[in-house]
Amino acid sequence: MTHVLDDLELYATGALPAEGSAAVAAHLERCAECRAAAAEIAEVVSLLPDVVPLRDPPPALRERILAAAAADLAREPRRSLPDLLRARLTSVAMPVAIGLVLLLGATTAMRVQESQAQLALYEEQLERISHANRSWYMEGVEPWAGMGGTLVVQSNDRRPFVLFHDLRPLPQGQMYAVWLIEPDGSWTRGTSFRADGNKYQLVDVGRELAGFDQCAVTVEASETGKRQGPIVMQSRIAPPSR
Amino acid sequence: MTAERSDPDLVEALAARDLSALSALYDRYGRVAYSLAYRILGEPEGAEDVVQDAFLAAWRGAGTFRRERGNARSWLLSIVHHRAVDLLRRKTAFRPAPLEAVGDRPADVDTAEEAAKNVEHRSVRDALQGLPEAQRRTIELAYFGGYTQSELAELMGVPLGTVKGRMRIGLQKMRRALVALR
Repeated sequence: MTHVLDDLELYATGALPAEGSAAVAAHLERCAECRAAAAEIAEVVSLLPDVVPLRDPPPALRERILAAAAADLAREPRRSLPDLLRARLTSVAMPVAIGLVLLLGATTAMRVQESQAQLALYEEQLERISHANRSWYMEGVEPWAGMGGTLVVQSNDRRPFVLFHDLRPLPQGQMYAVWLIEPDGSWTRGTSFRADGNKYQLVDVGRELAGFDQCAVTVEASETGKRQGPIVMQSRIAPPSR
Repeated sequence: MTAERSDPDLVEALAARDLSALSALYDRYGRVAYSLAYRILGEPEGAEDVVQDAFLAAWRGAGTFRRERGNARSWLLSIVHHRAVDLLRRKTAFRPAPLEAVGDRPADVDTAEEAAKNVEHRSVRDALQGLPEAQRRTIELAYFGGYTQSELAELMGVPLGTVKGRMRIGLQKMRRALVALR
């Protein structure tokens, strides 16, 4: 690994060109030695604003910032998404409403993480959800309250998926499992996955819903095998007409 | 009386979409943020835009703040600095002069807290002004002038290695001077 100690002062003062700065930032993510040196330099550089004579900003600036932030709040889907999904939207309104909500989610993700990959993921989700026509919301049960997921099935019943929100990270060695349950009580595992740390996470169920009348999510210690772990969320589902 | 919230608490509240946290952070750091942006850009309209953009970026990206990488003030001012320099580089016609041309006016406030801050600021200012001119100018032109390493080398007529060396030694001296004062 090539260290970047030679460039840290330039990096801290903003004197590296964009590509050089990005390379140093990427290196710092994985190199503790350079990160420690960078922190010492950044500490001094962070004091440089103190040498600037203070000026009062126009009073209106504060109001403009707060008004823009308040407008963000009004637009954001952070808390309203599960509520919207729970609201039994009609099949006509649902693609539009969820699409709008996820588009806003994508915008937020882009702003926060400035990640093209994240944006592409959300765009894919948006595209898929725009063709959905049935959904069932699963609410986290105690002690998993606050989490939830909406099982979405598309008109052709292929690739049903769950759009989760607020999934908590699990300890090493544990994972979430999505199950489909037959009327006779038989459980079939659809898929296993780990929380990716994002506000929303889309997970393919892995099999069609026909023949099942419930969906559940549990915490398991293995990617295969019968259900052993606790139920995190569950919902009765009505399979789409074939 | 409500106890003043700490910076980490405010950033945490910011990530939880607490508008009052944004308001408190602006009241705490809006002035220095605006002053820094004004210093870099040399004009009020651009400085306002940068400060608004920076605080909204903080509002929208508070979840990415990593406490172990620095404090809230440094984080906010670093956003301001990056955005101001970006804007400055897009408007290449204006490049501000080194610090002495701006003047050394005292802050127009007189509270005890501000006075204490002014003492701290004076220490930083003294540490910077105490550097040999070549080192000080290199740091100022990079940080406040938005010059890149190659522009600095050309402007000062020295090799790139000299630019790096001046900046490294200058910042090391500043660090030692400020540590000695603590």
